[in-house]
Amino acid sequence: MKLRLTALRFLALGSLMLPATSSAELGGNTDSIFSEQKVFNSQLSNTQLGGVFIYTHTLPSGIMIQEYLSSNGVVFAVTWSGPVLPNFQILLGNYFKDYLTAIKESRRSVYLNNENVIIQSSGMMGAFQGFAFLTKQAPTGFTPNNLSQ
Amino acid sequence: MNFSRQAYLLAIGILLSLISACGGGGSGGSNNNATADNSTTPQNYVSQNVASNAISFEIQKIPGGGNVNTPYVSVDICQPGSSNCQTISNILLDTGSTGLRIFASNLETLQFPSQTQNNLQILECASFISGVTWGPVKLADIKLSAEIARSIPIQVIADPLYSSVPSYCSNGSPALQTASSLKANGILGVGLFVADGQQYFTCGSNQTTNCTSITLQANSQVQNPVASFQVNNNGVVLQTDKVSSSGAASASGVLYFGIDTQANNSSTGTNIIPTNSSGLFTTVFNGTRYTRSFIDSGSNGLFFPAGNLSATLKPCAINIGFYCPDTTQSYSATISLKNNQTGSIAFSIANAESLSLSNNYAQPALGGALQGLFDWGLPFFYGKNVYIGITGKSSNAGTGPLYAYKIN
Repeated sequence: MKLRLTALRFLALGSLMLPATSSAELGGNTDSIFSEQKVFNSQLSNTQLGGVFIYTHTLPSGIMIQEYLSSNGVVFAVTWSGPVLPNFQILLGNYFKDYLTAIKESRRSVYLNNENVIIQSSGMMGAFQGFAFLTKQAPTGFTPNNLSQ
Repeated sequence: MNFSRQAYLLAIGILLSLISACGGGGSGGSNNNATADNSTTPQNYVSQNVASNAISFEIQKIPGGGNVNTPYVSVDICQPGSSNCQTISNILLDTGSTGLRIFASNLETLQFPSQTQNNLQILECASFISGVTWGPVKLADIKLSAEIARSIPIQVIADPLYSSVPSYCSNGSPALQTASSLKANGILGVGLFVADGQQYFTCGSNQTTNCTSITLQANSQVQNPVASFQVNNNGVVLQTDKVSSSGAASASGVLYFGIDTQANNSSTGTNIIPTNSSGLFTTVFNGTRYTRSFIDSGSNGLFFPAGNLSATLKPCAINIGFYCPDTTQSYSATISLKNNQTGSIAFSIANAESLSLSNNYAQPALGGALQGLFDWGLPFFYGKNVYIGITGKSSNAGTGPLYAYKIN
């Protein structure tokens, strides 16, 4: 009985800790990419484009997520596509609140461009697509047009 | 019309909430006269049977307001195999999603059998850009004029037994669990696909905890009702009134079932747009190719990149997602057609905040920003017949997924 309680407490603590350990995503780093892989249960691969590493997650749900890591080690952009939407709370991290603000307009195509971040979410059911881009953290000359979606 | 400031703000609010994944607002009754009568209290919209394979739809204000550029129909829904039926008004007609979704609260006395796996109720989490819908999958007969989809899976949103949306479904996003949040009494998804491909779960008991994600074969998922019709099942045609760029209080249309199956749904003389398996095609606008374009009655504007026109196509001051040019701009774009042909589409973009000052719910010149793609929303439909060819089903236009259009 006592053992079980301890186990439960540990579990509860573990789930409380989850947001902290996986808090990376947009604005995160390599560690966050790998912790996301566990949460998303994704297949992960990477390629290089100039000085930028592109990490590609393929999720069991059919979603493809790409995270763009700058030479400074910061995830400055993420893209997604797939039949359903990804977990934006995890993927957008600290910028999730900006996303929530944008979808208050309740649109099928959401576009937000403030001084820190550009977020776009669009598409039909079965073919969703979008990206989030940190303007200030992106390498010089790298724009959303450079994202391969 | 003398608009108070309150009315102005309300109108802005309507515009802002416009483009909804699910949106909309509706329409007034069976009045097919396009002239505005703003003194009339908006009524719930009930479709007329235009032909055995066709029902009317309307873009108009509905009780509670609603959204501009949102087409509404009504749906007759029945307990499978019975004459125990009910008409539900103000359903969003959506070519950008798949299947019928209704609210449990709108069902009077109907009881639908559950869709189950291993004797457990199947629950669905469906993704829309503006949020999620959560609820059990049930079996119902859907009647649209003389067409009947028999005992097909639908989603019942906000069923009292499963009313709380689990966090693994919402992930922090809004839950569209009421007619006011959805701005419609439901969604009739008659898009390019047969099954909706969303996320399904079974739960140990009548709870939303202890649920397990399941893989559900396509024919057990929420189904496009059109694909289940006996004959007119290969797609739909939306025929929508022409509306001038200054807008109209309302606009009418007809939804035909089938393509080339009856005299009234012929694709002869149309421009055929083949798509990839996701329903995407290429649009060229202002010298740039956008390979991930789509046509969608559930988007309430035209959304595309301003590119080097950004000095003219300025974002609105309040609603920055929409364009607010100083004067109405006329453009054209080309889209890729069958046999390497191209089609030219003319459109206008007006100042969205000026448009919102009117009482017009049909707004062909409403546009907004996106990057890297072109979303041909409801403004594309005005003055055209638009054909939606379902995946794997054939007509003279070809085998779906495909779109086609004819300018009237």
